[in-house]
Amino acid sequence: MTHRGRSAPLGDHRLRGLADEELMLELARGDADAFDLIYERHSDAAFSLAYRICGTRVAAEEVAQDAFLALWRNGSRYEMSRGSVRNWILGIVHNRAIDALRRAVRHETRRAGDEGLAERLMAPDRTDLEVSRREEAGAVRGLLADLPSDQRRVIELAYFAGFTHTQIADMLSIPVGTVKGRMRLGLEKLRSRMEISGVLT
Amino acid sequence: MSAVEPHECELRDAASAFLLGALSGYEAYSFERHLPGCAQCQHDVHELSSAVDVLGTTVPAVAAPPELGERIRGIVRAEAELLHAAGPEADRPAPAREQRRARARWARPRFAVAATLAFGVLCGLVIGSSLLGSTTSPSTRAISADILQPGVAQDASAILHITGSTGTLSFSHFPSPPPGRVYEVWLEGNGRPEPTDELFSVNSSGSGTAAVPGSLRGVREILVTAEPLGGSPVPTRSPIISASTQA
Repeated sequence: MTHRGRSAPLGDHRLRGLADEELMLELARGDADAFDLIYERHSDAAFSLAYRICGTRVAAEEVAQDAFLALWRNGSRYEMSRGSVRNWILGIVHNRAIDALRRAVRHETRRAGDEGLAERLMAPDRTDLEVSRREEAGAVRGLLADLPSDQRRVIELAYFAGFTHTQIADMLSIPVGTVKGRMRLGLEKLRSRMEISGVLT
Repeated sequence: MSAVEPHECELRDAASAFLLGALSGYEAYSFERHLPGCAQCQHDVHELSSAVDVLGTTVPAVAAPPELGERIRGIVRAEAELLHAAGPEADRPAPAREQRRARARWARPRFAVAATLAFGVLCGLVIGSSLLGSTTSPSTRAISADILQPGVAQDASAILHITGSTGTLSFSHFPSPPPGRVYEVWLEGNGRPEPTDELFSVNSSGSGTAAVPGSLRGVREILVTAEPLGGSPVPTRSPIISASTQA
């Protein structure tokens, strides 16, 4: 049994010393304290992505809540061999944010970003790890910006705006095959530049 | 199909669109079925997923609102207490699941019959606690769905569980879909049912669960129909159940 009650929220040194992957094992056994720590470590990144895709705070909160509850309930599905916990969480957030965006389009309630920069409260860097993650994110942003614009555009329209390849083909008046080809070329280039720059280890 | 040489697979460029979430529900489903037999596409997914994974980290940093954390932690604590009350069986890790694709989209309970044992026990407890009028988990509601088709066993049941703005369906003694068909979840807000990519079946004893994808905001009813394998963008049969989110 790994449950602890409310008496030990966030303060459990044994859990604090664990890596994400080890915390996921505890979480899969129903340990709410392990969830607390995973949430603490990744909620800002998850919320940031949800906010970037959904464009409103309300929608981003729904998506982030949906994603973290799915993580809690299906934590046993995490497989270390398939990547970091952070990427797994961001993958869940991405899928759910895109689903929300597409459903909003179907219900014709897709909201334009209705909040200004004032809403964009910068998340503080709490640890060295977060500082290095932010530096890495900046490096990747640079690599993404350096992609040929036609390749970057199809990647961004799909990943951040939730458009399907056929919708993108219609928008840009190019064949679907060209859209998919540009996606592949762009991702291959991004990956190889990540490797060269040491972002991908 | 097996294509180990580059460029031989007819779905050559599908991996990048798949990883970016740019395939339609049916295309993504087809690609997932294609993937286990195609070394080339597996290689592409493996190679390109690292590039897609980092895209999510490039966005401007925004702090998650404290009240969001409080809300989520509150739900998790309540559910953990229910699990704890259910004893060691509920703590047992779920069995290893079928291999799914490298990205987290695989983690979505598309065929949610294999929902975790712990969550199954939790659903039972939620139903139980709602029947007993318990207030242990006030944020979860359990709503009985209407079974709309004749000939379904008397003891068949379908329950919609709503926690916050998310929903899950659980079934017991429920008939399997007809041969060559799969159950599909639909969301109905104002008039026309909207498809989801949640496809599921029930096991030999008629038990199963299905996640209602996304938020229930604006959704009045959840419907389930039996559709051709791979799902359908429009309902081809009348619903077998409907569950009102307003109940």
